[in-house]
Amino acid sequence: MINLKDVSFSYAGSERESGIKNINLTVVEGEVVLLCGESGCGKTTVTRLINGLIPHYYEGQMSGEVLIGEQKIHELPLHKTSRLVGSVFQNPRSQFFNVSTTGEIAFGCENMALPVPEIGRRLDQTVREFKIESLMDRSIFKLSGGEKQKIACASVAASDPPILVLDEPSSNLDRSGVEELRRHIEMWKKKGKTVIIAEHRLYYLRELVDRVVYMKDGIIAGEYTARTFRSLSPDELTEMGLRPLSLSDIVRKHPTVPESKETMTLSGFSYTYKHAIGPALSMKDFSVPRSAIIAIVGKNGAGKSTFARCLCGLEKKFGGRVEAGDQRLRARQLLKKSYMVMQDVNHQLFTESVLDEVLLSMENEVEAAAENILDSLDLLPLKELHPMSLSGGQKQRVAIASALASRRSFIIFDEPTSGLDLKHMREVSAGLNDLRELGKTVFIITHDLEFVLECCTHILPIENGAADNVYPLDDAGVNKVRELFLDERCCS
Amino acid sequence: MMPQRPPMKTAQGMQLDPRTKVYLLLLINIVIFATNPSGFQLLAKGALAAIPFALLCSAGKWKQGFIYAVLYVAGQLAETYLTAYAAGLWGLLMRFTAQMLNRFVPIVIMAYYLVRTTEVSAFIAAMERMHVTRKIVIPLAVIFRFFPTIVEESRAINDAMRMRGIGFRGSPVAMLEYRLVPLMMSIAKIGNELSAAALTRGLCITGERTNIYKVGFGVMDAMLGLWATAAAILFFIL
Repeated sequence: MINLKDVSFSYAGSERESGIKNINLTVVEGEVVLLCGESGCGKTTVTRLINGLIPHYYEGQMSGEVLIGEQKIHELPLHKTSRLVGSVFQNPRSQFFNVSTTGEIAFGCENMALPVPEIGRRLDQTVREFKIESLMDRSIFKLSGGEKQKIACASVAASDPPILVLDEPSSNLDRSGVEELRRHIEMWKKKGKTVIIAEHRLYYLRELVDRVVYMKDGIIAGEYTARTFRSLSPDELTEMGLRPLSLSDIVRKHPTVPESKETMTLSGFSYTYKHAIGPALSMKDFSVPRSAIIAIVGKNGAGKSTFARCLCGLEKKFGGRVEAGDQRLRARQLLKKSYMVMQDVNHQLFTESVLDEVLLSMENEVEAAAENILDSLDLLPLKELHPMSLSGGQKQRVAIASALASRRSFIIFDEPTSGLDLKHMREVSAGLNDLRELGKTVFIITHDLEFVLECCTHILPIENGAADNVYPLDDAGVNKVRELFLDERCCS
Repeated sequence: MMPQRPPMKTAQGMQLDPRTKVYLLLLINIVIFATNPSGFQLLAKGALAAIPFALLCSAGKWKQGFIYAVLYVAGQLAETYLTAYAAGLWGLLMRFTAQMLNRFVPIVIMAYYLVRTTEVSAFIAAMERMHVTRKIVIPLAVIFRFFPTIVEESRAINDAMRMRGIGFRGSPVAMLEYRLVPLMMSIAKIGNELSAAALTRGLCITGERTNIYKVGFGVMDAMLGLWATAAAILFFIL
């Protein structure tokens, strides 16, 4: 049994990581509990209290007690807590200590000093349970995000702790990855493990959780049984700032925007990576509308990223072209005409303040215009701060601000809403609508149906490196894309 | 009893003990950075420089091995025969290039081999057999983990810079800053999260731990060790 008794915590020397106040929470053995709430509500902090990272790794002011059984977690050294609690984190890139998959799965067991034959037995069992035979003995750096998260789950499973804590585990996953994650949690539940999940994406947990804890501003603002939580209406969830509980609840609220007359033609979109056996991309020539928001949808590995990289001119050997009006653009020109907001925005923030970041992207550095852009993205109060001191969502908005400032024709977003709560997702879509109204053509790689229906005007499905058509998101289109999302979820 | 696992990627190549690899790297470092060699010393140095070549080939990386051999020999020949005749800026440039080729390249290749073919866990176990404290071993092991990360991150940053056209304006200092600041930030963040993850997996400074990888000296360790030691001794007495 996990018992948080009147726990308060505030992070040392950090303004943006918000703490928690007077949390009382009891989780019984075998329970699956969902912690939800807007970004910064304190749900991650609760997970860190349970796995002992607070106060042993993240420092700050703590009061109250965290008990697992009779053990005081806040006094127990971390390597002892690690036998009780296994953790899966949000970022699949930074939760591996080893370079090979096999080494990673065995790592926890090795640290427990289990005898080698026993580790071998557990390895075999874990590999079978997670069906990851094909991923064994490989470099983790060569795996996709979904595969990495699978290895992360398998790694904690091999150590076999009674409690599992997951902190936004689905953030970087596509729908089939989410479905796999759901199955892992289901398996743990059947085995009687206690599972605590902090998460924005709720739909995949709908039938799994026993209890939901809703947090707001560092306190527990509501506790629900699974049944009462499921009976909340979509509007009530929206009111609470939460994502929908079911993909079929998602409706298109905005009227279809009139289709723009202008189109651009993409031709020769084929690309084969060096040393690859087959082409990653081989598309027939096709046209897409301009001044539109086009969602690029499809499974991981379908060629979405390759398409985006070619469209941005990042692949030097890409031979295709884009014809827009009287312009014929090849890779070199595309590099100057397009802009990609990357999934990991840390890579594209270069300057010392938010304002500088926007100014750097402007042809003529006009401070007033930059401030306007910042204001529209809710960033103006942060303009003097270092971009790297911001939260993930804020950084992303800074990158979007610099995309706005760059005034390029095509702007491509790589999963801009992964790990975002409802409020911030809506802010992103509002920003994209502004881009469209400015006449930009926006492409979005996304796995987020709610986001697609919130702001996209067209759908470009990519499958096995090919795209047959772009369809508008009218009533028929909405049904089509919803089917695509629901379908992929159950067949994967 | 489960068979002990070989580290990855050297499947058909030889299995060296991590200690041997570290020893070879150290010897190559010491000898190659010693003062300008001449005559027979060059042979001894060549014998050491041949080790990374042999290791690359044994790991099936024939092409890389061949390129390395050509670069090393070209660099050495250029340093021995050409730099004496070149003067001024060109001479300086040539000397610099030649020295980079025949000094840094062998070390970089050896370090690359060490990192790519050694499991973190095997490395920790091997170092513990030499009674190195885990306070030193764990940070070293983290460096292992970081090489591929740095490569991955710099590629992404490079893309981002090309996209924003930063490559074409600003001073060289600003360029360096734009490249290094996100890289450092990114690495610091990953390092931070990585440490937290490793701690929740029970890694700690004290206490017993086991290791599923084979650690121990074999025939190849002995042969390469002797070869390198002999070359190093010859280098310093000749």
